[in-house]
Amino acid sequence: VSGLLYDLRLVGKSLRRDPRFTLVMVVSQALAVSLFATALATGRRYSAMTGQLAPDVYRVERAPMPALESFFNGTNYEGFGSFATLYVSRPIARALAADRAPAAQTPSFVAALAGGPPGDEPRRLPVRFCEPDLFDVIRADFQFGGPLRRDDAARRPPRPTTVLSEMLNQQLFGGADSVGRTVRIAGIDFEVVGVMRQRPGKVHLWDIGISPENLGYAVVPFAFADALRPVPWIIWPPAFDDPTWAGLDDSSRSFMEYWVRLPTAASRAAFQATLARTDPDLLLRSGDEIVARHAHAPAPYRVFAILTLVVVEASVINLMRMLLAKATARASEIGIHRALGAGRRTIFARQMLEGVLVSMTGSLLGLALALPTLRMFDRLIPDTPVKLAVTPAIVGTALLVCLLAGLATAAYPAWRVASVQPTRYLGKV
Amino acid sequence: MELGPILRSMRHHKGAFSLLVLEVAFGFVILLHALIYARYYRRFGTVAPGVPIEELVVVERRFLHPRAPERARAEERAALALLSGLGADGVAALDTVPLPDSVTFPMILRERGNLKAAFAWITRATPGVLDALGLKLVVGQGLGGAPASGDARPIVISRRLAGELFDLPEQALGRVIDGGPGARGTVVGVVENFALQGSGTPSWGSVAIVADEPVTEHRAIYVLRCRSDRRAGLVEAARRALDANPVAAADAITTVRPFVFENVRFARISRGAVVVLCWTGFLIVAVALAGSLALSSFSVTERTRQIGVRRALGARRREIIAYFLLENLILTSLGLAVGLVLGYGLNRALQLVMSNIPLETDLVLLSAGVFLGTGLLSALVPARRAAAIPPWAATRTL
Repeated sequence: VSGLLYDLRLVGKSLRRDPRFTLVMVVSQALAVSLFATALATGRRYSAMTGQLAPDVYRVERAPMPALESFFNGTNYEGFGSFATLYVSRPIARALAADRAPAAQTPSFVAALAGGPPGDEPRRLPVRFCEPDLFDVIRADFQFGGPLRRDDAARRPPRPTTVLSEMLNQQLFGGADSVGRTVRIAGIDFEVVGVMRQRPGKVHLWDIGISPENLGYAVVPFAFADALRPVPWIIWPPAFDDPTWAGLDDSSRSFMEYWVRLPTAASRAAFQATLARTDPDLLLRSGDEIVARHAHAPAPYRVFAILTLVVVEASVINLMRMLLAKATARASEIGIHRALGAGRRTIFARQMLEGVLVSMTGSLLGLALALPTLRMFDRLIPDTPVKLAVTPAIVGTALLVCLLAGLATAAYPAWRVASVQPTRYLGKV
Repeated sequence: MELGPILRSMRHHKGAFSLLVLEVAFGFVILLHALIYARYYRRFGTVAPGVPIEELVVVERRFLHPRAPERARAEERAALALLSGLGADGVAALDTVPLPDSVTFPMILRERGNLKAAFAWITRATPGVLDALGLKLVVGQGLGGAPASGDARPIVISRRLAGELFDLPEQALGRVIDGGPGARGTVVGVVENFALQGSGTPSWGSVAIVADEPVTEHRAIYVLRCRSDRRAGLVEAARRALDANPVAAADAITTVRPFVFENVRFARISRGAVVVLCWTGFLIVAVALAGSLALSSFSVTERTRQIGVRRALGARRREIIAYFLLENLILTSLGLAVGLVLGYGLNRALQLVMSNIPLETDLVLLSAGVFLGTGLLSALVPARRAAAIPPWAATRTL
């Protein structure tokens, strides 16, 4: 320990000797790391979705549509074509609902209506229509209250209750506990029974495919769809003869997701048979497959992450160059150390320590700088209202990359300095 | 100027010079790709051609209660008549705002009985839509009188869609398009290409407008057009007219706004992405420049004796400056050569992720120019310092 402290003292002295030089090294590394951490945060918003679905969850989907997918591929809307496979029509949903095999099942779609707390100025209000079973399918955390209750939805007439997303609760009630308050939606008063918590820096798996302006929504029982007559914004194919709720009722147009929980092999087999009878084009996609689809961030974010990784590389080379120049300039001092008995390993370790110290200081400063950078990104690129966040996973990844980069940075100058004979250094004294 | 001493010096300091070459190479690669990506995003947010954005006024009405379809139709006709009386150059009801914040799906359209198909962005609109959006007719006519149903429903398509389905615009007239329910009808006109969705969407110019009353139970959208200098007045007149009319005003949230392209979400994303990417490019150039400038004192101190000897042997100050500049030019050129190879490799790799970001010659030249300029600038400081070294400095370390 005392050796390490001695080395640290020497390294500190070396860095203090030319503070402007040290500052350039630290700041350039910090800027690169802040950009890299920001790229990780933007990518993470749409990827790594494990743990958001209950086990045994499946979604009913349509067979892939290669023509539509290739239409969007290679553009900024990469992957958009596959969204059309996620939806089924209302007649199909009705046929599937008759099957009792699933332990839980729900259609789900979002449509924009109008409303707000009674007495407030009405506003555009996105609404998600689903059965209370949705909360058995997804793993939603609650900020206040809890999920929709089955007995409320099963009553005749159903009890008008709603669960708000954190974003909508913020917009309507300033983020306060709104359980027990009323939200008027298209003329019907709904009692708030829960507020879902938004995961920091991440769009929920069940919200992917919902347009950003609809992400702050109220969840209401599907039983109210006939009264509220919503017309969903996303419909595939988009044109049809009667674009009203009544027109959608028996149309082949797809607009709702259909989620099920099938805990046993028998229930899976029974439901598969129902699917085949209903429409041979339908298939069951497991929760694991759905999560795997979002293992990687969308293409534009991946490109940005690769670019920022190259920025870190360039910053590492810059640092390496500066450390080498610094070590070469201190040749006489190192020569004296060697002549006084310091071995190559000691010199190497000291140089490594200096490199890693500079690199890690720059990285920590970069992570601190990432916070205002993220806020700037959120303002500049209004891709989604889900704000970017620096999570422990991002801090860990960035620090690991920076530690490896720091070791690589310091190794070459340290090796160069340590490998030269002391006599050559002493010649410069 | 002889190259011999420079090359010998490079051999002697090969470690440091290799790092400089690598730094230039990586810097060039990043700047080049930041510019390529920024250009991609800029294109993505370019003002959509074919529509005189600065002349449009958008009216959106969201109803507080769902309306029965018949009542909705009647109210929509009343509102349309009200807005038509305001002296605008064109008024129409559409089922979508032009250039919406979020993209919907396109339709697959084909001629009945023909295998040839094309993707098209589709909208339903009332007959005045060509005037309302300021579309230029190529051949045929607009949507005409009252919308008919079935195959007789008039459809206007864009030149690009006509080309994809029928080769020539003239050949499209009178042909029956069948995209399934709601997208079936006869082509009555072909207009110049225009973007209905964002200009960054695939095949943005491939559009079909179906004659219909775009009635929904919750929402109505109207577009009005007038000369840009009269737009503020039209916005005010529309607002007053809708507020004053009890049928139109009842039970609805109404917004009347001049259409501003800069407020469209994809335009803001595009602008933000360009800023971020240019910042990334600037950052890398600044880091390289700061590094080189910070190193300048070291590079001169290291070679004080060598420069002193050259000065003692008769080298003039400007020759010392030229020596440093030439050395830097050689190293930067080497770095750019390595950067070109690396850049090509990275671009191929990135195109596996996103196919439409190819290398572009002008951006290659611009990035190379920036690094040559930065290199020379960063060499000028040590060069001037070196030139100031007196000849007797050579004797100090002998």
